[in-house]
This record gives sequence, C-alpha cells and structure tokens, in this order.
Amino acid sequence: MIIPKLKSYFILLLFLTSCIKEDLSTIADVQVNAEWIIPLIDLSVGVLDVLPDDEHLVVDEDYLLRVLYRDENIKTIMGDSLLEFNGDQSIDREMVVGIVALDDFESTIGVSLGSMANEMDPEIAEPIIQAAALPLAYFPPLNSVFGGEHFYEAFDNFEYLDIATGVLHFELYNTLAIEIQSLSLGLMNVISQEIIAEFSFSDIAVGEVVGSEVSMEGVTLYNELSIVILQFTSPGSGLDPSNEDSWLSFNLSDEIICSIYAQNMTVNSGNIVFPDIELDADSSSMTLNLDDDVLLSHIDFSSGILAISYNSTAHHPIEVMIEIPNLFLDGSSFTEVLIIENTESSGGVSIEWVLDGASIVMTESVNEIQFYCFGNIESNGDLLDFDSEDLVQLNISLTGMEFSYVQGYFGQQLEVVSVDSVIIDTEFMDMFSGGVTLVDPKLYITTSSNVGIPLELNLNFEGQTDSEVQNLNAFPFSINSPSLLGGDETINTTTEFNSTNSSIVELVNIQPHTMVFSGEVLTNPNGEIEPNFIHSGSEIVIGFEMDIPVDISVGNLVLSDTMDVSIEGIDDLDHFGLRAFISNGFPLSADIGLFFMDSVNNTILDSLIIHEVSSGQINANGDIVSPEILDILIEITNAKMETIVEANRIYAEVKMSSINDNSNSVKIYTDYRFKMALGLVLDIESGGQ
Amino acid sequence: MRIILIFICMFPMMICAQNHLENDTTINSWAQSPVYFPNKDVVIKVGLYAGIDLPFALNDALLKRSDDSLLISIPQLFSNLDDHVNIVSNSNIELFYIGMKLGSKRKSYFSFSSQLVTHLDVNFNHNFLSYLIQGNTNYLGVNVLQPGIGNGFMAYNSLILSYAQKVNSKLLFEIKVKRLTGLASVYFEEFDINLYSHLPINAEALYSEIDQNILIHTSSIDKNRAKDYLENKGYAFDFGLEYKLNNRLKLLASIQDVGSISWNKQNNLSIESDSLIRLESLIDLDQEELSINDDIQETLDSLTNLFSVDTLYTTYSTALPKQYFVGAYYKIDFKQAFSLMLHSIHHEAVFYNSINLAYQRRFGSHFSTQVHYQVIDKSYNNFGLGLGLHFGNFDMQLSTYNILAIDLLNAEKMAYKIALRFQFDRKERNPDIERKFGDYKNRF
Repeated sequence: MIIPKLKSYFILLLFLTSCIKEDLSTIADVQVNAEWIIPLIDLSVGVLDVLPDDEHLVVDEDYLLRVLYRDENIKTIMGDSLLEFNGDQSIDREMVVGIVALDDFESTIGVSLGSMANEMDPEIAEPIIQAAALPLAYFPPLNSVFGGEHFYEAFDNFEYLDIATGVLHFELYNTLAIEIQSLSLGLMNVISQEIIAEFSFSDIAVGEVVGSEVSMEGVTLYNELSIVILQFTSPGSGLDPSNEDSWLSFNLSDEIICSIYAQNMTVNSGNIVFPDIELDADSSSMTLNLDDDVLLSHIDFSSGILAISYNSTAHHPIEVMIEIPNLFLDGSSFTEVLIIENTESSGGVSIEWVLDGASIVMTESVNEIQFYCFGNIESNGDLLDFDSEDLVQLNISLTGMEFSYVQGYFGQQLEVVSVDSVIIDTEFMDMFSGGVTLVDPKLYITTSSNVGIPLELNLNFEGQTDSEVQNLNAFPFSINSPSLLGGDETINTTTEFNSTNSSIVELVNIQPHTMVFSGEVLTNPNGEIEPNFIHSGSEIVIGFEMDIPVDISVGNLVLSDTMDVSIEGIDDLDHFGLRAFISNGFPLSADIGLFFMDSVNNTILDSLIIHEVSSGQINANGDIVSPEILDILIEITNAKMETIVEANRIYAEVKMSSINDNSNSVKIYTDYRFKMALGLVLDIESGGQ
Repeated sequence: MRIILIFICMFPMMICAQNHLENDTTINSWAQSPVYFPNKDVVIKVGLYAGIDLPFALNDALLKRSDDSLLISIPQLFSNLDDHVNIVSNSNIELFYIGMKLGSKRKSYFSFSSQLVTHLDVNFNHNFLSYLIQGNTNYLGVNVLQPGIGNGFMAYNSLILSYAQKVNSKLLFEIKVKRLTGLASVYFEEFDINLYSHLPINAEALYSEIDQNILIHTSSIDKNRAKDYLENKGYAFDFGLEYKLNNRLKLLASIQDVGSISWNKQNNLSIESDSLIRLESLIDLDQEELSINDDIQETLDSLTNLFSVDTLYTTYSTALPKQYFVGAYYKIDFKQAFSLMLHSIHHEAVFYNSINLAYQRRFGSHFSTQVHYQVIDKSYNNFGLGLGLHFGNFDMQLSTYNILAIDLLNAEKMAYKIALRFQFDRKERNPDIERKFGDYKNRF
C-alpha cells in the first residue's frame, strides 16, 4: 500500500522537476534600458524680452503692446496772427467858429432943437432960439437945413463889425412942435466918418413915429455911430410970422428922437465881445484798418496811446468837448473837455491818454470809432478879434494799439502753417527686416486752443524715408474753440486718422524716419455762427500722437541671433535626444532652426530644425485664448553629435507667420510668452535581444 | 536544484521513522510554533528555516534571445513588479534545542535553546525603484514617494529559556524569555525620499527634485566599527496558550518576540541627510558665450555641495518583529489532522499576514506528509508540501510552503524548513502498546 504511494510521490516529484524549463547557465547578458531627462535649458520669452529698449514702447492696461510716438507741440499758431490789426490810426477834424450872431443891439439919441439950431446957419437959428424963449412964438420954416451930427453912445460889445447879415432899423419920433416936411438922415461911423446908412422921411407930423430899415450886409460897423441930419425941412409956423395962430409953443429942448436897432446881426469879423457861441458839432469816425469781412465788436487794449492834438486860431478860448462813445477809459466812455486857447503864437498842443485797460465797444455793425466834437464859446466879455474863419484843428490819434482781448467776427481768413518736420525714432520698427505689416495704426492730431475762433485745419502730413514718401491724405478737420462764455478755458480736440479715413497704414508701413507737415488754417469755416474772440497770447497748439498697436500680420518674418559656443561630446552614448516642451503663447506660428557653424569657414556643420510650431489658439479678436503646447523629441545620433561638437557658433533663426500666413492680423500682448523647456534625454541601453 | 529535489525524493526511502502523527503545527510560514509541549520527555533538536518573499520571480526578468541564450531584462522585470516591492526574508537556525519535562506527572516542560535569527524587511515603492533604475522619463509630473521607515535587516542570536505548563487537561501555556545579542543591523529609522521630475505641461521650467530625509543606522556593518557585538543587547518575551475544547479540537494563540535590541554606538555608524536638491536648467542662456560642458559641470558641482551627509555614531534600538498566532488544530483520527493558523508579523506599523490551512496524514509508522495551503500577504497560490520521516525517536522534517517554488524561475515566495529532532521519554514505555496505539497518554 505504501509503496504505490511512494511511487506516486516519486513520479510527482519528477514531474515537478520537469517544470524547470530554462537552463540558467545560458544567461548571457543583462538588459538595462534607462531613459533620463535632464533639464538643459529653460527659456521664457516675452515680446519685451526680444524688443530693444525703446521709450516709444508702451503697454496698455490689458498688456497690449503699442508703439507710441508723441509730440505735444509740433506747431503753435498765435491767436494774434489770425487778426490783422493796425495799431496806429488817426483822424483830423476842424471846428470853425463861423459867422457869429450878435445879440440885437440898439441905441437912441434925442436930437434937440437946440442942438440942431447950433448946427444951423445963425441967421436961421437965431430966430428959432429967440422964439423958443417965448411961450408962444413964430417958428420960421426950415428949408433943407443941415441939422448937424449927433452922436450915439458908443456900443461896448464891439469895436467894429464886419457885418455878414443883419438889418438896421431906424426909428424917428417927432416930438418937435413942428411938422417935418422932409428929413434926410445919415448913419455914420464916427471913426471912419463914413455914412453907412441914409434914411429919408417926409411929412412927419408932430408926434409921429416913422421908421425905416436898411440891410447892413457887408457893412463895417464901428461901435461909435452918429446920426447926421443931412436935411431938415419943416414949414414951421408957416410963412406968416404974424399969424399968431400959427404960432407954436416950442422949446429948444424939443427933440427928434432917433433910435437905431440892429437886428439879426451876423458878423464875419470884427472886434467884438464874443457872445456865447455854439460851434457846429462835429461827428466823425475812425475806421479800423481790417479785412473786409472782419467786424469787431469789442477791443480791450493792453497798450496804446490816445492823443488829441489841437491848434486854434480863435482868439477866444473855445471849450471843446470831445466825445468818443466807443472808447471806454476807466469804465466810462471817453468824454473830455478841452479849453482851447489860441495857439498861433504858442504852437499846437497835444494831450495823451494811455489806453492800457481801455476798451472800444462797437455797437454798430461797422468797424468805426465814433468821434463827437462839440465846441462852445462862453463869452468872457472881452473885446477880442474875431474872424468867422477862425477854427480849431483837432488831430485824434490812436497809436501803438495792442489788444489784450478782441471780439467780433474775424471773417474767413486763411493762415498758412509753415513747413516743419519731426524726427521719428523707429528703432522698434527697424528691427523687422520685412514681413510685418502693421494693420491698425492711428494718427491723432491733437489741438489745444484757447483762441475763440472756429478753425479748420487742412493738414499736409507726410512720412519720409530715404527713398519713399507717403502722404497721410488727411481730410480737413475742425479745431474746436472755446465759447464766449467759457472764459479762459482751453478746448482740446483730437482728430483720429485711421485705416478707413486716411493712408496711415501705408504711411506707417514705409517705416518713416521723418514726419513733414504743413498746411492751412481757415478761420470760421462755417461762417459767422457765434462771436470770435482772441485773448492776447492765446494760441493754438498742434500736436500729434501716432499710436501703433502691435496688431500685425506677419508673413515670413525672420528673427535671428548668433552666439558663440563651446560644446564637448558625451561619451559612451550611442544616441541621445533633446526633448522640447514648447508653449507658444504667441499668435504666430514658427519654424525654429539651430544651425551649428564653424565661424572660421562660416559654414554650417549641422542643424536642428523644429518645424511648424503652431500659434496659440486665437479668438475672433485675434487674442490668444490658449497657447499651443508641443512635446517634441529630437533624436541625436552619435554621428550627429560628432558634427555638432565641432561647431563654435550657433545661429538661431525663427521664422514666424500669422495664422493663414498674413491673412489674419494678430495683436501682440506683453503677457504673451514663448516658453521652451529643453531636456537632454539620455537613453542608456545595454544588452538586448 | 535538481540535486536537492532528488535528495528529497530519495530521502523517504532511506529513513524510517516513528509512525505517529506529531502534534506539530510547525508547517506554516515560520519555524516557530505558537505553543510547544512535546509528547516525549526529552527533546533535542536542530532546525533550519529560511524563507524569502520576493516581489518577482526570476522568470519575470528573463528573456530568451534568438540564439536561445537568456537575457536578464530589467525592463521586463519592472513591468511585472507590483506597486509595492517588498522583500521579506526570515531565517532561523536553531543551533541547539534541549527540552525536558519535569515533575512526576510531566506537566511542566523546560527548554533551553539558541537560535540564530535573521530578519530582512525591505519595502520599496515600485515607482521609486523604476525611477532610479529606468530613469525619470516615465515619471514626469509624478511625485514618487519612498517612505521607508522601518526598512532594515537584523541578525541576532537568541538564547531562549522556555517554560510550558499544563494547567489542566485543557489548558496549556508557555512562556519564553529570550536573551538577545545583536550581530548586525541595518535600520532605516527615516527613509523618506520624494523624487519629482516636473512635466512642463505648459513649457514651464523643467526640473528634478530630490527631497530626502534619511537616517540609516548600521551596526557591525562597517568593519572598522564592528568592535564588540556582545554589547548589542536585548530581551524579548513570548507567551502562548493552548486550549483543548475536546479530544479533537484545540485552540492556540500566542504572541512572540515582544522585545528589542539596543545596538551599542561603538559598533554603529549612522548616516543622516536632510536636503532638498533641485536640478534646474544646466545652461545659462544669458551668457555671451556658451560653454555647455562647463555649465553642466558647474551645476553638478553645486548640486554635490547641496547633498551633504552627516555621519553619526549613536546608540539606537530596534524592536523585534512581533508575531501573533491564532489557530486551531483538529484531529480527525490518529492519522489525520487539520490545522488552521493565522499568523501575523507586526513590524514598524506594517503587518505581514498569512493564513495557513494544513492537512496532515501519517502513512505507516515512518512517513507523514503535510499538505497545506497558504495565503501569504495577498498571495493566493501557495501550496506547500511537507514530508516527515520518523524512525524511532528520530524525526526529520522537510517542508516547503510553496511547492511551486520548485520552479525557481517562477517562484516569488520560497520557504524551506529542515528540522531534525531526537526525543525520548525518560521512562521506558510499553513498546507493544506504543506500537499499536502510539503514546496514548498524550494521544489527542
């Protein structure tokens, strides 16, 4: 029983021994396969790491890279230059005294019978004289007897008059006891013994008043007059002396009262006591020398002189009031009263007023300064020579006028902006040898104006290189101005020139080194809308800003760099590799090449190429949504390594393109990174099948 | 190998043995039994147990080439490794054992023995080993952690004094006191290594890091430091219980090797290192001229300076791996028995567990065999076979707990035991009765 079991056991053991299949003595080798990756290079490059330091590179809040060229003042247009204003102007005026109208004057004398009898022939006079002593007597008839010269009292308001116009009235009152059959009288200048007027009367009854008038035009009248009774005829008591019925009671004091009355006398000249005279008011205006369509309404002066010069030939002081209602000095309109004396011997007189702080306000729609002159003579009671042609000559001048403020409508004037230029430092753009198109540049023309004139600027703006010129083809644009109510505010205007309204894209892409500009400024391009104004010193400052976001389309842009190297080989390795972990956060695809060179012979010994590193994923706006991640293994054989170690220079080249080559533009943000972690892959293999 | 197996096959025919079934539950993964109270009055034995639990079979690493030669393939080996690479090895050489029952009723049993014990317990993370041996390329972006607290090896001599006592017909206990002398030790008090090679998912910097915190003690390993191993002392204790439920079934339990060894500093050499080493890009692109090899050398030099190791000479202590046994033994008849044993080794918070189910059968008077099945640490295909030869007072036992380990190429777990025992009673027993019924007094 046991033996079969043992046999079974033995067989089982033999069976089990046969399970050892392999002859371990045939172990020939040990297979080891190890692969190590050793960090070799860590590269993280942003756009700012590649670009040269450039003060024109700015980064937005959202990290968009922009190239910004800015000059806040490429041209200044002074406000004063937009209004041609003649600072020196004057007018001459004359105020003629003219014919003086004297007050009416009169005088009366009584020619007594006795005085006449004294002038008569004694034979005629004696009986009259004797009869006058009687209470009633015979008055002999008088026949054309000379009655003698009888003097009026001298006038005290003139010495002589050259009468222009006037009427002398003569009135005779017969208070004699006899009728005057005829009477001829002569009014005589005593001084010149010249009869200046004759009067004849007849049949003048006792107690009758008769009169006559005579024009005195052209007559020189002295202040001493006499009446000469040239002929006196009277029937007396008749021819019968005995007829006591005809006998008269008369006296030698009986008179003929002769009155003279000058009326409406105007005098050409003379020596007179000037009456109060109002000279003719003179109004005139001074028209400012301005362009035709300029209409000023208000001028504030910062400097200037108002001068009034005068000469006077009048012997009487003349009070001249000069009024310039437009001109305001010290807040009130200019009104000045001058007492103008005769300047024939002393020479002309000039009086000045400083216009600093003065204003001229034109209320009428004309650029005229009104002047009003009023002359007045207030009689001083002196006898003075007089001539109607005496005058006061006035010269009113405004000189050295400079305004601190002027308001009005300055018309449509064309002001030339002279040619000027700005140098552009384009180091950033120069680094692109080609293949980069900047797709969305913008040029902003900035103006800063405190000149109260709407303007339109027609700008000629060019970019220039050594070989090319490209005009911006800018449209005329408005320069806004402050409003009249804004005080001293400055209005800033920015006008954008972009790809849709100008040739800015073409201009920027020639990479200009110089910007040349000129142009014309048109004032009030839309005509008169609201009042213009200019403060002294106000100006329009023109600047520009060229904003180039790095929004580019790239077609085969090549960036390269060279570095000297020293490489030793790695022994005991059949091959190894480089494993590149690449994160391309740029919206550009790239081919990367490392060329190992012999700098002595300038030959390329070998190369490592990484093809088509795709760009990161971009959205519709060209912004990176996510980077492109690559994990690439580059095998390097021993033969390749032997070549590489001979190199002493590495030329690195990156060729980049936008998506779909350059049919898409992409923005470059400074937070974009191109990262590459390069590891050395050591593949250790020994043994093998 | 074939020679050994032939020997095994031949041996049963050469040796005669007593035809009785030994109350021997030693057919398990370890040489020790939970409780030992022999049938005979006097026992003298020697034995050898050796076992190794590998994380791989040799065949896992072999490739046949076209010329039929074999290639040890490390890559293939690693592909067949589990996540946790554990190497556990224990050996126990019982140099001598003598035991004797005392008392008129033979209810007390004393023994004195000396054992030479080795214990190897190494745990590695599969990824850690692969990273070191096969490179870091497959571990980019992966934290490879190697916690290795408690790894180590120890060899010690144990002088054991045991006392077993039958309390009554059902209950039996055993106490052992062990005097330990440390012979050699390697102890990983701290072995935390974190290897990390960054995977630049977004092309950020590629770098590798080694974060290490190491404290390794050795005793009597460095020949210059092995001055007097006798100064490496320790004590351990065992306690076991056996309880008979009835004539057939008994329950066993014990806890063993509760103790530690203090390794004297004069024998010791410890290394300590705590550093973080980071290897970044070797080449600095900011230079005007690149000298790649100079850059690499400079980087490596700087790394070397960062990695510093301190040498210490300190006393340290290591705890013995505690063993827990819980089982049952069921005797079917005089010839057959089943046993079920749960065995756990507890070392440094790691439990190494096994379940042993054994069937013993006696064939005649000289031959017995055991067949057992073990589940060892998640390994479910461990069939063991034991052979017992019994000739008079002399027993010989050969066991393996994984018969499939005969195929060494495919065996991961191997354990063998050889035991020689000579036992006898002080008083002549009735040979006729014993021949027919065995040692019926102690029959169970």
